[in-house]
Amino acid sequence: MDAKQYNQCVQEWADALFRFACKCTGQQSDANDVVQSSFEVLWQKREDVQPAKAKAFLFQVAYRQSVDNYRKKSKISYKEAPEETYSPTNPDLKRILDRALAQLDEQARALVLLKDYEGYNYEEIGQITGLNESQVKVYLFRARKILKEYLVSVENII
Amino acid sequence: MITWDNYEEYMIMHADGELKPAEEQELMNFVFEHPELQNELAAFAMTKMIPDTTTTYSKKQSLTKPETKTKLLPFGNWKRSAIAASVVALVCFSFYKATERPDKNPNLTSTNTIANTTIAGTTKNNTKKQENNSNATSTPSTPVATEQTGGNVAAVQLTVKTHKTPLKNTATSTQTQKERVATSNDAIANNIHAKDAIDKIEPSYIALATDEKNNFAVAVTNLPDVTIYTDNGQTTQSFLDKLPLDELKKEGMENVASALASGYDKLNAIRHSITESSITLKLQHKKLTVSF
Repeated sequence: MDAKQYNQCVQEWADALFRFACKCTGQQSDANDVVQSSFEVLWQKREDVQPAKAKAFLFQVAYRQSVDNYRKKSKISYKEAPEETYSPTNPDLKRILDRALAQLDEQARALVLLKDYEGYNYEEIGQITGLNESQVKVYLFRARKILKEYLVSVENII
Repeated sequence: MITWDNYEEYMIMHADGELKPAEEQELMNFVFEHPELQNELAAFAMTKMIPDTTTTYSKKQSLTKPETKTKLLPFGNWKRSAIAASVVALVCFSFYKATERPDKNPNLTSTNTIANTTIAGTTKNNTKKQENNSNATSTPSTPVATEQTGGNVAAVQLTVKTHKTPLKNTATSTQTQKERVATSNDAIANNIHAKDAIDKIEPSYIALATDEKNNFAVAVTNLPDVTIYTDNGQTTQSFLDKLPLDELKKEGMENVASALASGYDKLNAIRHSITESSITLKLQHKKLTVSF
């Protein structure tokens, strides 16, 4: 990967990586650090990374930094995402979903985001997170059940 | 098979889009049979997160790196360039072979070749007299060789010249030259002027000509005669007589001329063969053929 292809990756994947990091870390400042260090690692490893694999590589680095590192240091304190970015079609559902996401642990949240935001399948998520396909399936199963229970309970309250 | 124990797993895989078409159909049938599960299926579907595309990373410029632009050399008409380079290489090689020292190449000392080769003075003597009495300032009426660059390959146009004076007839002895140099200051001056005249000789003065009768190339010189003013009056001598060269070197010039003629023939033959040949280059798995 040369500088031109790297810059193309920046233009193409920085936003998605930032959204992923925002949801994983819960703070924009941490998300900025994650995005910056992820692209720095990509630049350092550019000789070994093919352009087609750059996105998965970026999310792999971002996942480790935003989930593993923060979890190990016990620094993560998830905050709700900024409220100015709600979907105009169903703002209540968006807000409830964000709250539901906050109920998940860091790993389950990252798996749901990789699945829903980026559309990776179980196998690809396993490659990014270092889990096997069955583990991904189980973690996602638990996460969906938690999200569903939260949505149902909120719906009942409303 | 979907049962009450695993239907949630199927519903979640349905929400994740991981079900195969057959499994999808099986789940729909199961939910159809049990309508009370429809709300649960919808609830699982609602857990799917929707990315907020309005959230963007604003510091992209800080991440980008300077791109090093690769400079591409224009090499569009490479066939012409390749042909021109080949011709130049052949000419240089032929000239190098032709100018090899005679003592290193026994073929050049052949007297048979020399017999057909002469170095002669010019038929014209434009003697514009100058103050130094010895500079040759004449110009040939028609150059014996001209170069035309109209086509892709430079062509040489040859003109047959009459050989007026054979070299052997005009050559003076080495002993006589040495005596002149040693005894006369004027002769020294003449030699210096003759050397200057050599430096001023234009390429068109020496050329090749084809002998139409014998159908081979010969070398001729179109050097002007030199008018010398001495105390005894004005005399005209062949230019070659005034050259400060001994007999051996003049014979060497003959040999050079002969070799040049021979080289010309070879070059001509090569040029003709090139027109009917082709060059094939193999670059990995690709083959590039250039036909002439």
